[in-house]
Amino acid sequence: MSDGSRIRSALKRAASDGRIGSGPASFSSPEGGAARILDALDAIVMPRHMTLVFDTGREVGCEVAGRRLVRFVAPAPDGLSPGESELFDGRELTAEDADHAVATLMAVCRDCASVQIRTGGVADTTETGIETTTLLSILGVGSDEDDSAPGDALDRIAAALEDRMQASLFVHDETMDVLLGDGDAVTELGDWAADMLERVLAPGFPLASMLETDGIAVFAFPGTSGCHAMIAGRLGQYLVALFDGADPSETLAAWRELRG
Amino acid sequence: MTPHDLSKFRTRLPECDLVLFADIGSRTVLAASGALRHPQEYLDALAGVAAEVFADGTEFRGAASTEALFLSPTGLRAFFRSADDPAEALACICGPGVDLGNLRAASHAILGPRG
Repeated sequence: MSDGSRIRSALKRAASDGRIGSGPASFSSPEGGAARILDALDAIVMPRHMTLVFDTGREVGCEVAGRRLVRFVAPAPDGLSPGESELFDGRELTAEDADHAVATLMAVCRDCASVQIRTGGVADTTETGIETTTLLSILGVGSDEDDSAPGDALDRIAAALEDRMQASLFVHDETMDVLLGDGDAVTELGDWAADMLERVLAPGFPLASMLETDGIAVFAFPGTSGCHAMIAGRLGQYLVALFDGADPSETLAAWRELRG
Repeated sequence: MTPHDLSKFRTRLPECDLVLFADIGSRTVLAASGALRHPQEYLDALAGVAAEVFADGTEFRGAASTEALFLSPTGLRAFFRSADDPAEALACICGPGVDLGNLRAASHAILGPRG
């Protein structure tokens, strides 16, 4: 994947977080519905619970942890066969359950057209459950390649941002991946980002929730360096970028448009 | 800067619900103007955020930040540091649709010129 593609992918993932809590995701088939759910699950790093609320009124609870599906929460919704309800027995899912879990997700999407995904709680460090990548692989789709309708617009705005970027990093799980730039620019940005993330994500910092959900923070540095830095967050994953110019208006305006 | 100055600032920005002027060195609220009357603890917390985002150690390439803007779908929290006195800062709570250009221009005007 090229640097540009990685940036667009990261931006798209960062910007699309709102769909988890703020709006229903539409789908036209059980497979499509399961893909949307798994795509959302792949974004859930911190929460412990995921509730799927379908347009038909069907509601399904899941226990999750760090992009893993840990268990389906009883009771099973109406309309499922005994086999499709089997995983709602409260037991923890293992790798052997992966095929069955995907089939269960497709079953709960049957006869529905959209799902709203809500999250809550804070995950512990458990390593149990089935990885999203495994489930997506069984379903035959990639986690980032979902061709949702806003994609074109997101890509267009991301490309506009990319033109003015000096450097960018993708921060996740205490790891920083360089998306764009090299040398001092990346090193300086990485050092700054580590310090700033520690400040703004501290438990007592009043605006931490803005970054842990779907916000963006921009810091302007006028003077000889004349630049501004951005941190865009989504549930433990952050895109950090450095832009030319101390005026952050264009970056914020692009982000507003990006979010639609 | 007086509460009257801050009221005029808000008049220019209808989407600005609260603006306060603080000494970020001592984390003291010096003046405030809001659409609602906020508890002092709330104002103090906002001044604390301003102090935190402009604290030593947040510089980039040796330059101190003069603006920190937190934008989410539900609103904007904006912090502007005085160019004349780095210990003074403005904190604003605005709706999500606030005109960023106007907000920045008004903030720079009330805090004084910057380089």
